[in-house]
Amino acid sequence: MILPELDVRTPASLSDALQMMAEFPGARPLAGGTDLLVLLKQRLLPVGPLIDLGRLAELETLGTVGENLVIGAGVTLCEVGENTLVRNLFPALSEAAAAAAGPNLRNMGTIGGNLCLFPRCLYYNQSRFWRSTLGNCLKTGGESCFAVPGSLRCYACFSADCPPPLIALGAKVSVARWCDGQVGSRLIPLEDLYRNDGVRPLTLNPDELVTAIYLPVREGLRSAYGKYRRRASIDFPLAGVAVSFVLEENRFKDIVVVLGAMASAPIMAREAMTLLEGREYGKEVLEAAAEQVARGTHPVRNQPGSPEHRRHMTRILFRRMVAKLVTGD
Amino acid sequence: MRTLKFILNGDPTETGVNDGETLLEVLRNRLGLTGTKQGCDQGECGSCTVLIDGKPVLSCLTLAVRVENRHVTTIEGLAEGGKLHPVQVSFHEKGAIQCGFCTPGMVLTAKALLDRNPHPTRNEIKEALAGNICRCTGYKKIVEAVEQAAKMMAEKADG
Repeated sequence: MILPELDVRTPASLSDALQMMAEFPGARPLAGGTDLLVLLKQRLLPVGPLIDLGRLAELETLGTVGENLVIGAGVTLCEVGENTLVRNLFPALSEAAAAAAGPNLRNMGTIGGNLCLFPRCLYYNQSRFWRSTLGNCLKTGGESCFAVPGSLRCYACFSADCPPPLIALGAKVSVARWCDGQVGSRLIPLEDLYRNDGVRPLTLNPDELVTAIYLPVREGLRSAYGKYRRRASIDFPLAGVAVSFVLEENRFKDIVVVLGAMASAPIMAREAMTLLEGREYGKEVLEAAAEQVARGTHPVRNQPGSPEHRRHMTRILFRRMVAKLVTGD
Repeated sequence: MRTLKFILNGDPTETGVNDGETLLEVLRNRLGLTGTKQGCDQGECGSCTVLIDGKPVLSCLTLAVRVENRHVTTIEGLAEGGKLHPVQVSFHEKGAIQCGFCTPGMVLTAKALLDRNPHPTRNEIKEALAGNICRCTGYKKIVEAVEQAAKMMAEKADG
């Protein structure tokens, strides 16, 4: 599959890149390219100038600043997965980064790219030839959804691995743009980057760029990420469960449960969180919470495997992650 | 069209490329190095693996303009002075090849693994090769070949 004709711009600095994003309508940032180039090959996106972020040192920092661990958006998934600080402080993120795609793709793909991954659907992520047999779906500008016939909205599946654990760990992201002749940036909770809409999944303006992730370091915080997929070596998640909490005298404190691959955005399992908060760890309460986790999900038939099966796997993964974090096995 | 300069298998190389050309297309179509295979062409199979600055990446999803001034190693660049690299020797001796289409990517991924981890466990080998798919299902001999290559390289380093 050949790419369409492209116009690649190579900015020398972050402010250069932001200026280009503001200047060229339809410009898109190119990070690792492992998602974007496939979509362009499949003719799923309008072609605009690509702003190559590949050599911007400003996006490649990783280290503690004050009370936060700061990860530049351009750090590769491989580095995030192997970094000792990340592994010690935020195991859920380490596990998620190491479980995204396959090893050679992790050498290319960045964490910023993973945050901005396009939601996926069996009927969307296909070649132009494959799609031509059905016509356009909601996500490609048509009038019907093939995954949920009769639907007025697109249910494309949130398929990134890093956001659920990052949200569970309280991450904020800095979002930058060029305005009034200088770089302006805002810091938002990561969950605010997303909206549950398969066509417009990100709240970013077209000229904005995610530049870094801020993770508050907290003593005693336990976290884990569980992922279910067809081939454990390379596939996107069919279900993803991130859990974080502090255990005080065997009681859950500040527990957060975030699910991936169940909707078009990461979703919080609020009922389960409320149920477990302050409660003592035990088999029965865990079982009840797991039930709430599954009940709060509404996957649709747009990924391999039945929605019921994927939903059931959130229950299993949730139980497994919590038990692992409490008992250590 | 612009001029791309990079180091290909140790040699300074210059070629004209379009912005929308992948490294895979440039290697195969402009430079005639067909050892790098085009498989799925969308980042799923690993056949097109090359090393950029020593790291295994997929050339089908790498824009050629991105390797400006970088070191690219393809399967054609592994042998030195007509002598095969230990990973190539082991693949040959162990018969870790059936149709051969995945082999260049397998060999390069394995070489990069042994460069950063000279004594990998069997699991580490399997994990490193997880993104390189062999549709003849010959994984067992491939893993054994990497183990043998690790031994050969260790003996060479000792000896």
